[in-house]
Amino acid sequence: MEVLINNTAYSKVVLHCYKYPSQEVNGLFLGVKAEGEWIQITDAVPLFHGTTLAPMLEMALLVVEEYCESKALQIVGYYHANEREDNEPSALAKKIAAKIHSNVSIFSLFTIDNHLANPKLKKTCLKSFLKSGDQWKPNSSELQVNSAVFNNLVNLIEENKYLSLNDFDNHFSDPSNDFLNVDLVAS
Amino acid sequence: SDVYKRQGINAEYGVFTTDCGMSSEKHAKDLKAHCELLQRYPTNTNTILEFLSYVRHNNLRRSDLVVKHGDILLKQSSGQVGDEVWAILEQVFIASLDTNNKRIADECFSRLKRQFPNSTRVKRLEGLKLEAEGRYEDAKSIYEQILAEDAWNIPVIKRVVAMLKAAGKTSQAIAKLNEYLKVYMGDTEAWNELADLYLSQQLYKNAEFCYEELILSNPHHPLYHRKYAEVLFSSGGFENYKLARSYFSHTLNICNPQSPHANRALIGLAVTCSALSSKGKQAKDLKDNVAVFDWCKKKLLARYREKAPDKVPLMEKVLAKMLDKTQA
Repeated sequence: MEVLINNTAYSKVVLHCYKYPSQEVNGLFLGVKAEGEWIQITDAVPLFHGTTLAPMLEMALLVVEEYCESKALQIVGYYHANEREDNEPSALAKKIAAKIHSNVSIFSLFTIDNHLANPKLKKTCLKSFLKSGDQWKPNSSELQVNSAVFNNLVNLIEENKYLSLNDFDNHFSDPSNDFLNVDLVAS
Repeated sequence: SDVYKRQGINAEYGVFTTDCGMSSEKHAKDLKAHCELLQRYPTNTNTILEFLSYVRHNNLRRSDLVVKHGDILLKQSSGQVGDEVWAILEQVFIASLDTNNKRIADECFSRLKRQFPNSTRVKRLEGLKLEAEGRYEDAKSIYEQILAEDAWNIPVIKRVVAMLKAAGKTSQAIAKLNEYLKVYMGDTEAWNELADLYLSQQLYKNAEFCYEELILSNPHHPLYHRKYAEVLFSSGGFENYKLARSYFSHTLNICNPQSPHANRALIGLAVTCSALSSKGKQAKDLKDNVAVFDWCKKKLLARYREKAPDKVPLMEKVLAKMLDKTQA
């Protein structure tokens, strides 16, 4: 299934990884979709870093679902970067993805290839998986990210913009940290 | 140099970087002040010394800045640094491993090795260097050499655990850490790390045990009550939800209302009340459930009005939906 992603969403994911390079990070993709045909990702909402536990996850999902309703968007994907260099979707990632999938169909799990996250490499670090029965199978269609996005990211990282990114962990500790990260990535 | 390096090695200032994400919140303001000073006076010896000292004593992890300004400082031949230079060399060395800066790492290491040729502490750094290069077997033999002479060298034991963790050998790391904790049962940092290791394998019962130990030895610290509640909730089930509700409530009793603990405990409590209500018949026993949820809702909305007014309409809807579920 074809998956399209814009500058804002892709950049937020990479910035989230850069903010917490030694920890697991995860988050949601928002956007629109066409039944069985394609998914278009227009934004990313970073969720947590380190260990994800149920109460905070449930609250975050409720908040993001409500936000989506208000903006006629949907949760179309879930991204997860492992702590170490292995790039297979971990048991926890699959568990969370399955939970979200039970509410939202046509949904993709994304893992981040930790080796490719550096935008200087100009390679897409996101690999998408689609649910097939009980398993998550790699999507045959590859994600395209254009080079302007990578160039912009290199600048953002050099300016340490990742320090200003807020995920739900930051938000729940202090509500003034906005998980929407508006204006963080100038399109 | 490539700042981004994802590795399981918790290249440390203390030993682990497990702080449950809390210390970085606590230090955020002071750290920001230091960073602003550094931006204005990037080569000022005093500014750099104070920053490095702050980071070192609080076990924070800002390797990018430590390397950048530490390198500047070390190139200055200022008399101001004195004996602190050795601690700084160690600090910059570890930071440069974190940011994958081989040149600076080598420079720092050779200076330390020259000054302290027979030091166990420097030998441990050599092990770290090998780990950073991916030479885990060689690093392991260095640690084993040190442990052969000093079987209870705490930093080295922890390094062995960290290395097992980095190599993905989680069950071995857990075993080793348990062995360590049998002797050093008061080591808070180690219990936290063990809890994290268990959680990474979704072994909730074992993680609960760790938090129980932490609560027993630090009964006044809200963090452990809150995390215990979160793990109980994750385990699921009516009894666990009931217990989680008590622990979230207790956290709110003992924590500073302005702290991040308070906000997260409020959210945890709200989610738990909501979960309890869906447990059917048994929930009738909890006649306070709706009242507690309502209390949380009021407190949360007050916070949002104060800190994030643009999010209030959103939160009102979310909490209203949760309340409907709680009352059902």
